Amino acid sequence: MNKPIIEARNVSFQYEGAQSPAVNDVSLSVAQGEFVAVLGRNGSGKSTFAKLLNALQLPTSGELIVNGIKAVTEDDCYEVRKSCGMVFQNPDNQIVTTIVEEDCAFGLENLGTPPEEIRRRVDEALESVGMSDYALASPSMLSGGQKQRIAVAGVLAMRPKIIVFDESTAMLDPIGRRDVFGIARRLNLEERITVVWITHFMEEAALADRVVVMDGGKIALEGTPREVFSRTEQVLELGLDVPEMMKLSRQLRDKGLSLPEGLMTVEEMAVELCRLK
Amino acid sequence: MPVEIKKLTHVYMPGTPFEARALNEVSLNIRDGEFIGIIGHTGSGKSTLISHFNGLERSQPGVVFVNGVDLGEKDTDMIAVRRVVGLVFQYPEYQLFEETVAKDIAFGPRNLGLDEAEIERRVARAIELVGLDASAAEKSPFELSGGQKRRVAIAGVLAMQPSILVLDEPAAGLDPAGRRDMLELVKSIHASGVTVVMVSHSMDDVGRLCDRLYVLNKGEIAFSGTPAEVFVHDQRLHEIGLDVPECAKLARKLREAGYDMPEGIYRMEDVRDAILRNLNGGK
Repeated sequence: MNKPIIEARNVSFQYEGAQSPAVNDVSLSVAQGEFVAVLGRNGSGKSTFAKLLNALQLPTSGELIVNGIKAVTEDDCYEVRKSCGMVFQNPDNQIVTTIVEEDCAFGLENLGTPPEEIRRRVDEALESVGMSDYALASPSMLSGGQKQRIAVAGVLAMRPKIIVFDESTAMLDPIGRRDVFGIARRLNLEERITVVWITHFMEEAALADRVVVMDGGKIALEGTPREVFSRTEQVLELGLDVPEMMKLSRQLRDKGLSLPEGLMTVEEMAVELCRLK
Repeated sequence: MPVEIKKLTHVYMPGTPFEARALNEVSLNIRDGEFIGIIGHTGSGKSTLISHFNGLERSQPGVVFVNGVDLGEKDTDMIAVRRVVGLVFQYPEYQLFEETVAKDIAFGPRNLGLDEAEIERRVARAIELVGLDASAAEKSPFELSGGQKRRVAIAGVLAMQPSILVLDEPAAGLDPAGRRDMLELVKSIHASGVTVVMVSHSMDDVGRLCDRLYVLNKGEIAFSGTPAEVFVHDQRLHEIGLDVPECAKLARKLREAGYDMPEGIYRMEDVRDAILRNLNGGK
């Protein structure tokens, strides 16, 4: 395993005035280049954990090291945010300018990056998310999926080592979802960017390297998608679901078919069923 | 016929550089007691279309009819129309504003000029219908979870006692359990005799719940029919940015691999039984 880029040791966080911690004694290590999906019902602490990764909040107790930095001072926080970018749920909440390429340049401008360098990085970032043709468009004329791609480009221009996607596909239509997930997966495989993918869509989690399920601020389940989703009862109790193919394969096994456990995708299922024919 | 639309065309900002044709000659019929699904990618015209159902957008005369009333006529009583057609927008919880859940739900009925006893009765019934605890009535809606807030917003529409309920992505953004609960709620509202129109991105959801579907693409109806009739067009649906349920995808793959799978099959039970028939030699 590669060396960890995120190292959380007994991290807790409690909002001011809250009765109980939103994140409660979480220990998690994410390797450089990993694609980790984080699942959990609403209010399970996923988004708060994401904010800790990005130093938008600092742990109340425990130790969190992101890209070798433990955020204590304000300067540390800025360093963490340079290495760990974030894409939120609602694209309209994270677009700040009226021209696409200016939006992508916003972070770099704030860092005082030289103009030629900004130009180069913004062009590259837009190219990478397939939005070069829209560089001079107004974000208000784009679809939700396109806006999310712009948000990803804005983060990419900062050359982060980690990108946290906090339910970034929740408001998109199927094609927008496919696009944004596909871009995240490609950046992970080709550019070795570590991805933390928070989602309510089980089919997306099934394609991650590892799945972490949170409940009540703690990590309730962890493992490969196959390991996690094989524990169907527990997954349902945690307010989640399992991929449709997993349900179908269980039903078929109950009827006497000899299918292996842990089939999650249509492709895997089709291969196994063709073997039986 | 609760809703009848004949060749509805809607152009935003006509005569300006931003002119956009959101709907182009869309026709549809919704019968009493039906559960209709409207699907389409972002910008396909879904929201514009449902805004016509209760006259938030107005057309020319002779195009949009609700219970036989022409919504395009100048002297149509729109308030009466909006009592018949309840519209639940996307993320309706953002529309909550009152101090308590009960007051928020009572807002609509009170504007109808109903007496207090009737308002109270309707609020209690709506709270029960959406599955909230009666003790929630005096809480602030802002203390509730996202899923519960959404229920309050839907209760506010139900308290108007509409005979047609239009919901724009009622399950968007909810976790899987919240999603299941919300769809169960919509199902129970439909079972209580309300005609339901649901806009959704989830083919699995509309396949499971709806009697008929209308698929919009670039402001036009690309397909309509029962879910099975629509899902037959899986390739074309994919091209226009939509999907078919996972089980329908599997059925196609198996068909291509020599399995005998009926066209348009999409329900898990049906796909399961078809697979078993193939493997057990028709037994």
